[in-house]
Amino acid sequence: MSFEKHRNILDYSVNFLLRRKGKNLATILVFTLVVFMLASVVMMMNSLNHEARETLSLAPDITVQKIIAGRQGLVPLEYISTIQSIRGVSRAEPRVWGYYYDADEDATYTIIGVQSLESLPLAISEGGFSGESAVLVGEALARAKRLNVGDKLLLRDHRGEYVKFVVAGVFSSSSALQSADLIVMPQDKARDFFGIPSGYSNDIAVYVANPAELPNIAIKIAQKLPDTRVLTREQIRETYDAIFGWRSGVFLASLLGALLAFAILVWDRASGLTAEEKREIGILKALGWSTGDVLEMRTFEGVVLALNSYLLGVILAYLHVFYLGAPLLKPVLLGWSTLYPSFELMPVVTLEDLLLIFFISVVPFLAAVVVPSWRASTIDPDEAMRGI
Amino acid sequence: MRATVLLVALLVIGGCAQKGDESVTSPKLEPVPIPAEARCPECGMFVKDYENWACEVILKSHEVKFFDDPGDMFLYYTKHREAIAKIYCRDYYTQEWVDAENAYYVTDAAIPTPMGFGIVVFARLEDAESFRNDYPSGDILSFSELAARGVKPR
Repeated sequence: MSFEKHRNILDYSVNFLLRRKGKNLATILVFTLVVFMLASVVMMMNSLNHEARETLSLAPDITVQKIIAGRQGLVPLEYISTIQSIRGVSRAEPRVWGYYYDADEDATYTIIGVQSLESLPLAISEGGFSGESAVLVGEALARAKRLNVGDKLLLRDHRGEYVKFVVAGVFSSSSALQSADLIVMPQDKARDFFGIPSGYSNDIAVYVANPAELPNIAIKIAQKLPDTRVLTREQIRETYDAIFGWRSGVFLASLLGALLAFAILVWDRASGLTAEEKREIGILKALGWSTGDVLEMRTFEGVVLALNSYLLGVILAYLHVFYLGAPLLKPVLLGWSTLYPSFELMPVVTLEDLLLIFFISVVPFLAAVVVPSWRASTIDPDEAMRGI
Repeated sequence: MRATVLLVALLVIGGCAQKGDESVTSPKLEPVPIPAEARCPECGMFVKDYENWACEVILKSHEVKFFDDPGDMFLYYTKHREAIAKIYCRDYYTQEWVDAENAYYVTDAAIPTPMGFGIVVFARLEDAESFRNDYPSGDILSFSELAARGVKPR
């Protein structure tokens, strides 16, 4: 019996919503827009943070760069034996890498020269690594240049001459940020391609078995090789965090305007009901509705509006960020986006994010709908109807 | 009524605690991977969180005890010397398991270790000497020397 009553109240609230179609649609529109913008930023920041962390997990424990006159220079390979002589260092490897501008695609690729593939923990979706002129390419790059395994890849080296490479494998797209624009080739080949003299590398990757000893080893390297800059993974992580923190801070600040508009909307609803709405509540009470029934009706109404807007906003944000690649946010948030031939954000959505958005949008809205109705429904129906 | 609820709650909590104490055995007296729920019998800390300081004591019954600080291992050793078959610690530099009885120990109260015993384990004497250079007031001791001297937290 009581279920029937609730059903009737729900029925009434839906009719109530339909009667004020224009006003309610406007509310849904504004509400959806706010949720959409908030969710877009939160989803994008999360995805970027996730990718950055993933990239960082591939970074060596310590990176040693040579500094000449305050600028980064090439590291002589003799430094490696000096570093390896420090106890606690399990491995020190030279790294040869650089950027390559492809005029045809108007894109910049990262070329990495490796001694063996094992030192590169990236998944290869197809092909292997064999032969002198073999290269592995990132999935996005392969797509942009329509490359398949076995195809030729012509790149201009530092002399301006074209060098022919054979695509031996393609990285899988599971690690897009790390491998999207990557070309991996044997280290000697890369040295020759960039014109890096033999006996030198770009930097040295140092691996340490015991994380507790890492800071000590970093200090010892800096003492033994005073002309180097020693970066621990922790320092790189802090830099990432600072950059992402700053960027998201800037964007959230600009979003304050939208939030303010939302607050005004909520305030408008909270500051009181229209005379018409008050009269309606008065009539309902005169017809025998209790305060609880009126509140239930208004809550249904608020929930329908809020949940629809919330779901619509979140779904639109998801499509915007992960299917369209966040065209509205990208210029602000990604400094490097123009470098990539194609860059897709990994869909990462956590329950906390959804709850966060829920609590700063739906909850205040529901409060703004229910509280004034509760005030209106406690007054005398006679007074409410007369008050117009 | 309230007392019953309390009793049931205590039993449930007790049951959970019991679960963490499931014993691990090593039939060949070799080091075993540290289970996530293993606690140090001396201080009660989870050992997995301090894996790079870990020690394992294998009893004659093949049961394995896990320790999060070499100092805790020594406390246990002095109390249960007769029941112990084999002891392993992690080498500070290489992070490989070493036979504790043939290892070298650098002790200095200034070394930050999980329980503050200031004891660091090395398989090779040269490594221990190199590490001592970082802590000039430290001593290099063998297992028996350290066991005879006794350990105490800072």
